[in-house]
Amino acid sequence: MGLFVNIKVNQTCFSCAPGREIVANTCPVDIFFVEGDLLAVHPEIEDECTFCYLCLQNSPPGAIHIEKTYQDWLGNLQS
Amino acid sequence: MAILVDENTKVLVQGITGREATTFTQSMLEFGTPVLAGVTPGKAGQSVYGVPVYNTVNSAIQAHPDINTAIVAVPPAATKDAVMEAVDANIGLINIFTERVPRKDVCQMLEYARSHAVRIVGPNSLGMCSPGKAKLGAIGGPQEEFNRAYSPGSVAILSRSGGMMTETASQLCIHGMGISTAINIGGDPVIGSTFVELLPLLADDPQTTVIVLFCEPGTSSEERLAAWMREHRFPKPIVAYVAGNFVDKMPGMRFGHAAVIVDGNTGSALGKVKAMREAGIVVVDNHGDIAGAVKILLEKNLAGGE
Amino acid sequence: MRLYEYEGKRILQSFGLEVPQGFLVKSPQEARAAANQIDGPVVLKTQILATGRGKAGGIRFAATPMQAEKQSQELLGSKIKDYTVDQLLVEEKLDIQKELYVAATYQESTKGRVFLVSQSGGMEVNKEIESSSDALQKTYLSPWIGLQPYQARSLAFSLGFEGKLNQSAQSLFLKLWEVFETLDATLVEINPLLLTRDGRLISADAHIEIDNDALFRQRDRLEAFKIFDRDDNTRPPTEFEIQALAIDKADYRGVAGRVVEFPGNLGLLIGAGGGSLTLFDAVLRSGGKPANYCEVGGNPPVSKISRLCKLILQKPGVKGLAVMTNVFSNSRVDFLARGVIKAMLELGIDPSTFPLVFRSAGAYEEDGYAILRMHGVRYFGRDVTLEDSARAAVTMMEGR
Repeated sequence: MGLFVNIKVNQTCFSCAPGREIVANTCPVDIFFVEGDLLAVHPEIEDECTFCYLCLQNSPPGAIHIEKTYQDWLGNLQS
Repeated sequence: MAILVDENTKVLVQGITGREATTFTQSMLEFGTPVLAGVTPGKAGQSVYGVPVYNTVNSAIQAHPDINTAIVAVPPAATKDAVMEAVDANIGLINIFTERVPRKDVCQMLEYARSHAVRIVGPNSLGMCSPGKAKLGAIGGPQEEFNRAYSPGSVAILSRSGGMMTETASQLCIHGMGISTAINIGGDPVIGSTFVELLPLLADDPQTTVIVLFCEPGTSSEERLAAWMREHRFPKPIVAYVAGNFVDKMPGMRFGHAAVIVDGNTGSALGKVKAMREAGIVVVDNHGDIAGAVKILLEKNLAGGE
Repeated sequence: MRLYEYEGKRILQSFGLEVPQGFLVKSPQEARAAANQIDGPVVLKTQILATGRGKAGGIRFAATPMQAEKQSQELLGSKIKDYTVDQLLVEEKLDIQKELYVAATYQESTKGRVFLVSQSGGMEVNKEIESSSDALQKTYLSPWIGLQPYQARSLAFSLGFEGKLNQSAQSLFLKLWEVFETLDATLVEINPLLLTRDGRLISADAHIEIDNDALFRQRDRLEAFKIFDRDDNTRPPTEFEIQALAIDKADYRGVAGRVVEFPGNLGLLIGAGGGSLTLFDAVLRSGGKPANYCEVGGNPPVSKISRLCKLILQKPGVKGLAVMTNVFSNSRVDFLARGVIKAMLELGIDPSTFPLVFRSAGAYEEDGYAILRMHGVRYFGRDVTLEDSARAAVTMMEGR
């Protein structure tokens, strides 16, 4: 859980190793890594997320969720 | 009309598969600049955002003979070679994006280009733009960002700094003024197109009414401009800002005497301000005052005043 | 990259130019031994990269080895122009007939190289510069073609040299040029080039500067001369600056560096290059007291921004922070905001109450501003000029 970006992985969407590898290799800032059967996230790199969304493009819908912790403050919803 | 880049500009990106080049190729395409081809030796057949990649400049030109402009974003060690390749292919305008190119290489490629009547801008130049017509390089970033700072108009900007060129354009835009052409000439001592070399083009450009210069300490660029202006009646008003006055007060960097012998006592911000003012250039003390100064000059021009 | 006199002489000598007999010494005993070996009056020259060491007392003479030991005792460990002297060049004092000046360098206005020769070397060369008399000859050289033998010949004759001396001069000019070309130098200056009473041409001082942008292809050659990379400073870097440099160098992405320490209370995280120059001027114009200069640009990652921000915030005496940049095209406003907030939270600083001014605009500004709003930080956008944001920062510091 980063200060600015929260990345959650739905492990059930990644049933095979190549799927996990692709995501880990695609991220330009190396947020993801493969640990055994899991697609894991480096917690200290989460806040480097550039919102390129290449991970989303390279995984099944709903497999990865990228949340901005400041979402409620976007568009002046809170002052 | 704009200068150097306009609706006829057709671009080749040298080093297109590199990190910086892929980003600015995307933003050039977003703008609508025709990027016809790219070159990265060994990567022929690939494409970058739809732009075909070739192994050599010649093969790219054979496939796309309309190319008339190149932007070079290859590593410093390979820059001279890339520029020579483009000059030999008769590409009329070459913008060197790469920074930290060895001095000897810069001098050699500039001389080579000169002898082939090819214009070079840079090195260390983020690029240039003529809003509404063409954009070369990384100026202004993605299109949404670009549009907030740059709109078509009659003010030309020549800037030694890339970031401050966009800040300057942004200030003008906020006050309702647009740009004919903005060129990041680069901050290095030896560059392809100096203020002096570009001003005559702007004098002849019907779209440009006022010119803004962003200047920095170091080099003799502004002092030579002032000397040139004292000898040539320049027909359009120029507003300039010199950043880095504090550098004058920092301990001197002098090493030996040769620099002073060949380039005179140049380089101080104060000296630049003084020389340019004596040459009739309006030099503002605050960057924020540029917009106001330009506005007055534009209104004078409309009113047919002096 | 500027070379020490002794390094320059080492190079000149290897290219066949004659230099005074001399020894690099680091202790008074070594100085005495050197003077003994030279067996005559000596010159002791501090080896620092600052210019003007002569006037600052960094050049002394000694008639005997004992005097040499005494002089070096005073010089070593002393401060000349902010540098602590830790090495001296002890050289034979030469019997001078004439002092000349020779140099090769680049010229901006001609975008090429120029070879300089003057009859009036040493301290007199200053008068040459002012009067620009014909005694100083400038030979312009194309970037592709170097100094030609006919040009060296012409210069030798113009100095009034004849016979063997003429030949020596020609040879020296061509060798100096070879040094310049081979090493990607931006300056090779010999001042004075001494003509001794016994007719030898000796390079009594050497200013050599290697193009920093060519170091990648000169490193091996320089290392063979035992010369290694170093930064050009006008004074030794402070601890703060050394730490900042380490932060910038630890990650190749973007720039969060070019830090210079100042003695004030307002920390500055500013960018980019031209923007930093503009903003620093603006802070001073408003009467502010900056604690540092820096440049943030080229899209550095959050971690690098955060590390530099922390370093600034932790600098003793810093009581406020101004984060100000020009409109960002290729760097990101949200990364800047993330870096600053992260630094503060990690240091236990409350961003909503700490004296902070934030002015940035451009790529990802909506995200950046949202992060700042979330943490209670007031910010300025592109419609506030750089001057006004600097003034706001200075006003914020009043009474602190």
